[in-house]
Amino acid sequence: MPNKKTSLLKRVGAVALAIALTVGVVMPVLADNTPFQGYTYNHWSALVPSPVAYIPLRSFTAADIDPSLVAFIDAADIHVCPYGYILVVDTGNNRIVIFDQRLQLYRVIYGFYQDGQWQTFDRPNGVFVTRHRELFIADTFNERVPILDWAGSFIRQLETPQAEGLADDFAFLPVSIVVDRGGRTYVIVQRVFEGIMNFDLHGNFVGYFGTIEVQRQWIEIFWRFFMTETQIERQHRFIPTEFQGMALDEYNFIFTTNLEPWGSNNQVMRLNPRGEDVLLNINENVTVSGDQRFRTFGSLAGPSQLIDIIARPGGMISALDRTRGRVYTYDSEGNLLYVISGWGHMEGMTRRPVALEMLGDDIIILDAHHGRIVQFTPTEYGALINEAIYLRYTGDEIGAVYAWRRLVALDENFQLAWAGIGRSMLAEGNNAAAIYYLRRGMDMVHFSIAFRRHRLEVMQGILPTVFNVGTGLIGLLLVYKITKAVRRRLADA
Amino acid sequence: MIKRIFGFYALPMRIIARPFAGFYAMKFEEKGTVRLALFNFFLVLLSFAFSNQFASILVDERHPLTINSVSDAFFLIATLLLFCVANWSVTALTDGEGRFKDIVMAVCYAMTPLVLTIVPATILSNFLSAEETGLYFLLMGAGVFYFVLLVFVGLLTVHNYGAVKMVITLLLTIVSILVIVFLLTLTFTLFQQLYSFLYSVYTEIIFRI
Repeated sequence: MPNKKTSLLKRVGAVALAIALTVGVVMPVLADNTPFQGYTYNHWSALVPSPVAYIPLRSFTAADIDPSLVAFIDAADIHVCPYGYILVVDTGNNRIVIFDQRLQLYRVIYGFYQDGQWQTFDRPNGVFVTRHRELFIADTFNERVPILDWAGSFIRQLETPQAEGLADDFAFLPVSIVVDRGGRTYVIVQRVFEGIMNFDLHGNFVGYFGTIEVQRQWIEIFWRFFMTETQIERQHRFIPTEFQGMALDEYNFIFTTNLEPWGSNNQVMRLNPRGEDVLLNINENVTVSGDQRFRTFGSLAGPSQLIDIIARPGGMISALDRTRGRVYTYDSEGNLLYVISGWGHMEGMTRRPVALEMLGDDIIILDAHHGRIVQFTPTEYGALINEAIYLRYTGDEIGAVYAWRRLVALDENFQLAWAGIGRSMLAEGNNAAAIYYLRRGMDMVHFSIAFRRHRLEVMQGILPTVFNVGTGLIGLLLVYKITKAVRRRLADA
Repeated sequence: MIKRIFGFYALPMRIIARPFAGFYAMKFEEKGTVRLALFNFFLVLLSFAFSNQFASILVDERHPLTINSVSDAFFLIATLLLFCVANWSVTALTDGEGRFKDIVMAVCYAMTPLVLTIVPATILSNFLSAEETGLYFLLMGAGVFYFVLLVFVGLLTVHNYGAVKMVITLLLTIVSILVIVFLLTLTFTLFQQLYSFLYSVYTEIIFRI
């Protein structure tokens, strides 16, 4: 009983939210003046135009934060800490700039005292703030990861690991850092192809984490049969691509991106604690790799290169594409939800995007070319998708139906919304209707479930009649035969 | 009654049951007719169209707009022609006894398993959930497998070949298919060039008059 009550409450809440979204004038319903267009891919990997999910809200440079700050040069990373402060790793100026969400400068870190010595950074590339307000800074060319407290004083540091098997000229060039709840540190190191370097709570190197499989072409293997030893020796080695971006989700799983030369395989991995890829991509027609179709030469050509990723509420992920400056958002099942931004000079576009973060519901992108941060805020369309996906992810498929229905009204071509309605009907037990919606949304997994249940219902309805009539007919036939036989006997007698 | 209606289809059924005897009867006892063979092929085209139209979404996920039964039919006709011509061109040189007519008949009569499986499998697919679609593919696969087997037996009988020679001529048939396709492409490009040349001559003249 209490269950029903909460679900009713949730439903009322969802209705209220839907009404607020519909009536409210705060959010633009559908944006028509954005410099980019929204699109997604349908089940068959065909491009479908869609409303814009996020619109540019504002953009700001170093001068907007504080007039005395010099402009960002080659800024490499942006990080929103658990306490709401925004950190920008300003690589060219060798500093970390910390400010709050009202664009008030909080602190600039140029260096720290270690054993009484003033230490500066040398082209830092990444930063991470833990729950305990410890700053992990990827001080790339100093080959170390200093760990500072919130006041900026030195605690300890990660250095070049002393481990067997590492080359003598091994250079520890950290570029990206993530620290999980257990204190394990994951570091992406430049020119390390074995995987992400994993350090324990005390800063000891534990091993490599997650590996990218090299895709070998069969033609290469074929040619190897005809090669001499020297030829094989002189041939270039097949090494996997490097990891590009990392993000930690709520379950301490790590999302990573890596470059993929042909753009036909997933560029995103979801690594479980054992370092295995557990990313879901239910519709394999559309891979988690940004654009499915692209020009092969010319300007803005080539496959998407996802260089940064963030984990969002509701199991969603957003990934940043370096090739065309777009941000792709996927749900926990690997469906592309919406695409925002692009390459260009207008407000809301970027020239050289390098990093991506969430600021509440907003998305911020760091554009290294302009030394600028662009902030995007959801339209009603985007907010509805976020809400529906969140509700579905938390198991409230029935509550999500209001958002899905509104989405269908806004954009009839959005297959995921049809599938969402179908799934809510499946959860309600309305199998016949669910079949229609799931078919329309091309959700084959749930279509099959709904179909099986519906088939069972129909069978349960029909079979008793069939069996009754069948038994009756057989009975009649028996009676007929018996009477006939008896009559013949009587006639004979 | 049944015999009277389906009597004309006796030979295809006999071929299914006893391939060697059936194909022997088709050629050497003059039981086979080209008309019935082509009708059999037409039934296959119809079955494919039926499958395109009515197969369950779980076994055929293609977008409806990408399905075209007419172009499918043309493709099948072209493939049949290409295979028969190629096979004829090879076997004529390697002491094959089959005439072109016999080759077409053998291939078309061999299609009976497809006629018998595609439609029932398509109907069945509408009662299957995703986990059970294996049944559909098993049925279809069995049909195709038996079709290939029958083509092999049919051509073997028609040409009066041994199995090894048959395999070799089939491989040569594939080579000759490639040659034919290559020559066709070449001819098409040539005609295209010729056309564009004549067209540019025409425009030159038009502009000067």
